[in-house]
Amino acid sequence: MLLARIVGTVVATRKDPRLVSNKLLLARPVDPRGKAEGNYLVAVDTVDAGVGETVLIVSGSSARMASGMKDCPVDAVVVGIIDHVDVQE
Amino acid sequence: MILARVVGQVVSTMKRPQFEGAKLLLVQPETPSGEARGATLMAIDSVGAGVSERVIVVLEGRAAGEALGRRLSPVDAAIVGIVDHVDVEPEQ
Amino acid sequence: MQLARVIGDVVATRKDPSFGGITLLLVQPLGADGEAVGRPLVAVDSVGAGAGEHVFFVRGKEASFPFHPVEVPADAGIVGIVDHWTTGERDAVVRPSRRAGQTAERSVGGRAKRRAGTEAVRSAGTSVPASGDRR
Repeated sequence: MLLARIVGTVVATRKDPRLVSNKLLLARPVDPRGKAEGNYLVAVDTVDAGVGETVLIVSGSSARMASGMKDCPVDAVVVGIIDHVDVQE
Repeated sequence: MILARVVGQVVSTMKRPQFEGAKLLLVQPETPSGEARGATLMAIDSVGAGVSERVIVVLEGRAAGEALGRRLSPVDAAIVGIVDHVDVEPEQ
Repeated sequence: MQLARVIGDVVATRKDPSFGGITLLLVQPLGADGEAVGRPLVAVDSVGAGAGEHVFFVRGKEASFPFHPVEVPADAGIVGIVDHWTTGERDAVVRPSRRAGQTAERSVGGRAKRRAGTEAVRSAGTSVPASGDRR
């Protein structure tokens, strides 16, 4: 799973009916110390995350195991809001 | 499935019970011509492969679980064949 | 699956309810030589791993299997703690086990006790492969 920061929201009127009433967020992966890296991705929000928050994103087929995502055509879902990360290197 | 070379073996005492008795090998994915490509992976071995042998690795959970023969095994890679040889058509 | 080292803990109060009670750890994937490969990622733990330990993890939906029948939305899961690994020809151990006492100071919190017997793991990152043993 990835750590990412929410940088925006995505609005799509015409979308797969199974995505209706789901909030779509634009997220950018961050390293454990919070530095942005890599490509932006669109993820469905299941934990009421907001812009600026650091979140946990699950991707691939596991994303459909998130609460309310069964049988939805999604590959990235926000499943947690990060309180803190303790890095011990 | 991918071609890979067995480069090592991993020993683990504390692991999920589905791995009990399974051989855990380190495999380096390779191009058909034998060049290393990408990160080293771990795969369970169901065919008796050994270090330095060239193998076929399945990279899909359900298939890998079949190789282990146990339901709901948390695996995503299994060695399912030892390569005798690979014939590649020269590129035009 | 991939070798990795646990480099930290991730704490999230608000999360998918099926994560309840499950530890989230930050892992750095490693190559056969023990060098970091790629970016760190977050994995669920089902074997009681802790910071500094060498582990192996599975990617994909299979990461949730240890928690069956709960469907945990995880795409990476630690499924074993590595005692040591070898590379090169058989029996060429390049990750020798060491006595627990040498590395015990790197254990974290109260976890060290129940992980007794896996202390060798922590030495792996510091041992130097014998060059002749490597392919």
